[in-house]
Amino acid sequence: MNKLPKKKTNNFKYFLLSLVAPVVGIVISALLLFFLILLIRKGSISDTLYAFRVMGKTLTSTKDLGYIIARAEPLAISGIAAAIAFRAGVFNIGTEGQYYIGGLVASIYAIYFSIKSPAFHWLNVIFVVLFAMLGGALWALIPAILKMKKGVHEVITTIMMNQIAYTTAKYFVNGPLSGVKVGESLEPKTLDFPPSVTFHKLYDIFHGHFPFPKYIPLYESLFIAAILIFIVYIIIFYTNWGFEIEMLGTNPNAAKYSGVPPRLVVFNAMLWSGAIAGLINLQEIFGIKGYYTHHMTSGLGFDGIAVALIGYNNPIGVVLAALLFGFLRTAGYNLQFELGIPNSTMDLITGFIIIVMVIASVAMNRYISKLRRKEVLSGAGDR
Amino acid sequence: MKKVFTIITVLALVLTLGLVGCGQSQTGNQNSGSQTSGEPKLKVGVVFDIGGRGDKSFNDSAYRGLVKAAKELGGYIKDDPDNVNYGTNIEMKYMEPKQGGSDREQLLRKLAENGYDLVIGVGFAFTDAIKNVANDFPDVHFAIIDSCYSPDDHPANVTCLLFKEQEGSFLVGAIAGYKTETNKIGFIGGMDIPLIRKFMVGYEAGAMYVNPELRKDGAIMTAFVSDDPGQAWNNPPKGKEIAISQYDQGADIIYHAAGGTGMGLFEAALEKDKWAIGVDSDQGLILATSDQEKDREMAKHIITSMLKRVDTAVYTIIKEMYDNGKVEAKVMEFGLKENGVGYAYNDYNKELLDPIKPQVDELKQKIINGEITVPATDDELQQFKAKLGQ
Repeated sequence: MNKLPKKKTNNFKYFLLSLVAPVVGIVISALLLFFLILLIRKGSISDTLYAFRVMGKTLTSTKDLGYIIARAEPLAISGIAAAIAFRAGVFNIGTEGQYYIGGLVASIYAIYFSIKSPAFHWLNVIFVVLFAMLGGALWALIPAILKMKKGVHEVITTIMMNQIAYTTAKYFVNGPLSGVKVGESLEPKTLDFPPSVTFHKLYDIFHGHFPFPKYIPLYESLFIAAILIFIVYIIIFYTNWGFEIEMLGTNPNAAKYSGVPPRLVVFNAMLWSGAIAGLINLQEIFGIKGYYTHHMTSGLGFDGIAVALIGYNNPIGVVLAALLFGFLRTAGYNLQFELGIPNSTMDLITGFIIIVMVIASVAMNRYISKLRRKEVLSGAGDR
Repeated sequence: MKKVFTIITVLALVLTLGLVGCGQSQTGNQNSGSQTSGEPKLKVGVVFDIGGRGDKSFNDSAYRGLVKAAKELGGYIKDDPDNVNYGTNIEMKYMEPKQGGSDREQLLRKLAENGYDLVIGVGFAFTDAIKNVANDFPDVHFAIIDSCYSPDDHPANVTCLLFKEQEGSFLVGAIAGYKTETNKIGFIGGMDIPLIRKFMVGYEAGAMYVNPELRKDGAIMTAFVSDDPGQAWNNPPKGKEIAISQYDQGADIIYHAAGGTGMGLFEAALEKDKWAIGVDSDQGLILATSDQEKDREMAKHIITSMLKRVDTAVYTIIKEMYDNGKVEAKVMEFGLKENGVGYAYNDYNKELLDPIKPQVDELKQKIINGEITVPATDDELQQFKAKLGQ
C-alpha cells in the first residue's frame, strides 16, 4: 500500500515525458516554418518576424479563436473516430468515405422524412445524429465483416470504400437527390434542408451573449462534438469494453488468453469508429451549407488520422491536437492574407510536425520502457 | 535525454543567431506587404477561381481589370509580384482558393472581415458562397461574375456581372465557318451547364450562319470535359484527348470554353497541325509573347480567341463603386454593344483574319443593331437553324 503515492508521481513523470514528442515536433516545425517564410519573403528577417507576430495575433483575436474552435470541431470528431479503431489495433482509414455516407444518409432524412414543425427541432437534430451514425456504420460494416470473417486487411478495403463513397455521393447528388434549379446556382447539390432541421448558430441560441462574432461558423454541432468526446472518454477509460479494446490493441495474445474475443471486439471497434466518423462533417452540411453536396470539404478523414496520431489516441489529446490543427489553418489564412504566403505552407508544416513527432515518440517510448524496466527491477530489489 | 535536449536547444540557438546575422544585410530592401502609406479611399478584394492568376484565360482577364483600375483611378495591388502601383486611391488585393476550391467562402469572409468595401468573386462557383457571406456582412458590397440569383432571392448588396458569351462565340463561329476546309469543326466545353451551352450555341449559330455545309448533322462536334467542377477547368490532358479525337474525326478547327483545360487543345492543335480558337483572354497573343518556345509554337495554331472582357466588367464595377461610393444591387450584362465580348485581332493573326475581317465586322454590326438575334439556348438554336434552312 505504501507504494501508491510513489506510483502516482511516476505517472505524472510519464505524463510529462509523453508531452516531449509533441513539444519537440512543434518547436522543430516552427524552426522550419521560419526558414520557409524567410525563403518565400526573399530573406527579409523583418517580414519573417512579422509573420510570427501574425501567427501570435491569431491566438489573441476573438474572431480567430472562434475560427480555431470551428475548424477544430470536425477534426476532433474525426480524430476520435480514428482513435477508437487504432486503440483496438485496426487501421480504419475509411473515415473519409464514412463521413460522406453518414452525411448523405442524414441528408436524406432531413429532406424527405424530417418533422417540419420548428418546435421539434431538437428531435430532428437527434435523428440527424442517429442517421449520420447509421450511415457511417453501414459504410464500415463491409470492411468489418470482411475483416472478421476472412481476415481481409482493413486498409485495403476501407481505402476502396472511400472511392466508392465519393462516387456514390456524387451519383445521389447529381441523380435522384439533385436540387439544382435552372437559372440559380450551378453547383451540384441537393434540395435545401427545411429550416426545422438546419443547425442553429450558437450566437443566436445565446441571444448575443456569445464571445464570438455572429459570422463565425459555430453551430449546435459543437454540442454534439462535446457530448461525443465526453462519452467516448468514459467508454475508453471506465468501461469493460474500453478495457478490452485497450488490451487487444496493446497485446493481442495476452488479450486472447484472458478471454477477450478478438474478432468481435475488432468488429465492434470498426463499426463504432464508422458510426462516429459519420458525424464528422455535420457542421458544414447542416450548419454552413444547409444542403448536401459531394463538393464539401474533403480530406477531413485523413486529417483525423493525423490528429489521432498526435493526440496519442486519447480523447483529450485528440481535442488538443485538433485545436493545434485549427490554429495552424487559421494562422495559415492570416499568413496568406497578410503576407501572401501560400496556404499549402501550413499543410507542409502539419506534415512535418507529424513526422518529427512520430520519430520523437518512438525514441521516447524506448526511453520510457527502459525507465520502466529499471523501475520494476529496482522495485523488485526493494522487496 | 538531457543530452538530446541540450543538443536541440543549442542547435536552435545557433541556427537562429546565424540567420539573424546573415539576414541583417538584407533587411530594408524589401517592401513588406504589411506596410502601406496613406489610407486608400476604397478597398477592393478579389477571389479568383481555381487556376488563379496565370491561367492565361479567365482569371488573368479579371486581373487585367484590376491593373486597368489601378492605372486609370490611381491605385495599387497589394502583394503583387509585378508591383502594380499608380497611387493610393484604391487598394486592391486578390486571393486564390486552394486546389479543389473548397475554401472560396473562407477567403471571401477574410476580405469582408478586414474592411474591404467591394469583394468580387470571379466565377459562377462563387454563387452560394457570395450569398452566404453577403448575408453576414450587409455593409460590404459584393459582385459575382457569370452567375446570378432569382429576383426574390437576390441579396441587397450583390451585383451580378453577366456576359452575352453567345454573341462573341457567334463571331468566332463565323470565323471557323469561313476558315474550315474539311467543313467539320469542333467544340470543347468544360462542363455541361447552361453557361457553357451559351458559348456552344452561339458558336454553332455563327458557323451555320456563314457556312451552309456546317448546317448538316454531325458537322459540328461537341464534347464536355467533366461534370465535376474540380476536374472541368484545369485538366489539360483530358482536353488534349478530346481534341485529338475530334481532329481525327475530321475537324480542322476546334473552339474551347474550358478555362485551363484549353491548353490541352492547343497542344493537340500543334501536334496534329490543325487550328484552335481560344477563349476569355486573347490566348493567341499571350502565348505568342510567351518566353517558352513551345507556347510560341502553339500560338501559331490559334486563329483567334473569343474575348470575354472580364476586365471590362471588373473595371466597370470598381469605377462605379469609386465614383459613387456604392453600387445598387443589380444585374449588369456585357455584350458586343458594351464591348464586353468580341474576337481577338492582333499582330500575329492579322494575315489570317484580314481576308474575312470585313464580313465578320459586318456580322458584329448586325448583332449590335439587332438584325441578328444570337441564340443562347438549344431551343433557340433549333429555331435559328430552322430559319436558316438547309
